[in-house]
Amino acid sequence: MTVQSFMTSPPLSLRPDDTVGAAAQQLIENKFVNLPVAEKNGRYLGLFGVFDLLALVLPKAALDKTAELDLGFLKDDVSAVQEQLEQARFLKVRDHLDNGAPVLHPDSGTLEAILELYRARNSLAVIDKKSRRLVGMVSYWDALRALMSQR
Amino acid sequence: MEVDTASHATIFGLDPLWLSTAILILAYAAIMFERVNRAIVALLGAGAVIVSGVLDQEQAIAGIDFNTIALLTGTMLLVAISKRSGVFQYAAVWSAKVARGSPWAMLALLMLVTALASAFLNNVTTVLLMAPVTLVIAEQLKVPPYPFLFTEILASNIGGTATLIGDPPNIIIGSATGLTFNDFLANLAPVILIVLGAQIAINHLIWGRKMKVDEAARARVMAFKPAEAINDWPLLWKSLFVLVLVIVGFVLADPLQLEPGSIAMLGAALLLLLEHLGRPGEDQSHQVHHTFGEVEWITIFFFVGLFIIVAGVEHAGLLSLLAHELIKATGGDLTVTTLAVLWASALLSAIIDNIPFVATMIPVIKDMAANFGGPEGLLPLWWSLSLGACLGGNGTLIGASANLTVAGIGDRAGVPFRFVPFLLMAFPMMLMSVLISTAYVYLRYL
Repeated sequence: MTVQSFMTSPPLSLRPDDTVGAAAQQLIENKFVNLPVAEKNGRYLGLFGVFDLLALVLPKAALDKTAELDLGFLKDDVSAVQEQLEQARFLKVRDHLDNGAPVLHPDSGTLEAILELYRARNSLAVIDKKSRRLVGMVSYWDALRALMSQR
Repeated sequence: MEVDTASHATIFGLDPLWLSTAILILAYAAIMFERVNRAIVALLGAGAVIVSGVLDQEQAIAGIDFNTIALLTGTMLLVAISKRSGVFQYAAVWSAKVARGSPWAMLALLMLVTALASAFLNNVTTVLLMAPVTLVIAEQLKVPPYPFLFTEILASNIGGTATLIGDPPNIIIGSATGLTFNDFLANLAPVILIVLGAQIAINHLIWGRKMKVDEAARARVMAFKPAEAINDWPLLWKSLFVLVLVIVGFVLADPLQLEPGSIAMLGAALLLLLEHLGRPGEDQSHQVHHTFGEVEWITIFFFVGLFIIVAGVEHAGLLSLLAHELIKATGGDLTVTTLAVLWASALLSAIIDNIPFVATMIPVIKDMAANFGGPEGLLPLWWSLSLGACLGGNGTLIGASANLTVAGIGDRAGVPFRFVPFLLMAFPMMLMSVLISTAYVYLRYL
């Protein structure tokens, strides 16, 4: 069994010029953790998801894993966070996507896919090896459903 | 060290002086260009010194200053444990609150806190802990973070100059000369206070007085809860207890007849014990392994390799030759030699790594003892070497590891640090600090 057999294709995707607000709406409406971002010609660019959205309201320095920063000393000001999120609505997805996430290919094996999904704790894009075109998305649910249906 | 070129044969019968010099120059060049990690370069250089026959293994091992290695490792372990308590984050948040949200007061206080922390900790560690929280505070105040990070770089290199343990060049100088923690404090801390005061004043004029914040931002800072920055109160008290003990140990090192390396390692072992007492064995192993993993092994192995390379050139007689030439060039005049060492160290340290430079200069200066009335006569040279090498690091973005560390943190947070803009601001400030040091060294020792 390869990824091709249980990926969602064609997937719902974002364009790099989409605004963060529009992307957030898609994520919330469809209850997706993330969505692939691809150019008009289908070339895959990265993933944009809930965590990228949440990162926009956090101090940038706190996102640096090496800093091991704790924000407990800040006053909990929800209106300031909401204001920050509101300002982020007009930013472009291209500037905030995750282009370091691993990708799968249609011919990737099941175990390989499960390992990547396990490591990423997220849905992953499936792209064509040669053309780098986005061909599908695979979530951990897809993998689990595919495995259960094999029994 | 006596020149002993005939003790064993070198590869192809090559002159050990040329061979060891070539290895040193190649290692320096490789360290400068940073295409290969500096620890790898130093270890390869050390290997070349042994394989080529400049030194045998016994001589190479004897060239490693284990007091320096122990002092570095011990302080790294102390910081690795105590930082988990959140004490450094607390200090930065406390500074912002005490400054009542005033940007210029915050700039000055953060410089003071950074300098103080750097005097007792590794500079890189200090900025690694201070810079991220500074960025968060600046973001809350809605002021540009660059001036805060820039001044923290300066403060870390300045503060580190004040004590034996503040900066690696001082650790090597102290270990090689037997100068104590108190000697460094008594001779360098006064001038460092003046340099720091001057830097705070200049940075206030350049940045501080221009920064304005609105009432809402000020209120946000005043609402900070510094106590919340502490993650682990018991660990904080244990860390402070051991850090105070270690500093008392450094101060009393002479009467106790203990080397700083032993004190730091003993302190690290005590803090490890206090942290893990009563925990199951398996947890202890896991946590101790994690703590040991935080030791900057690149720095430690860099030192090991470097000591062997320098021992090679020392053994081959290059450094005696250099000392002789330096004395000839300065006419054997202590004032000229001292000021030449101060300025050459500062200018070179702005471009090249100050650790290999100082490691090379130590035997050169030691060789001058006969010209200046014995080891006592070398004191102005040691202080000049330390001031030049440590303060010179402020001259360029690549002058010290702390500079690059802050630049990295800044870049990741969208606050770019570029070589030329940094140079244009920092180099004149570095020159000013060396000028102050020149006046101090001249008036006090010459």
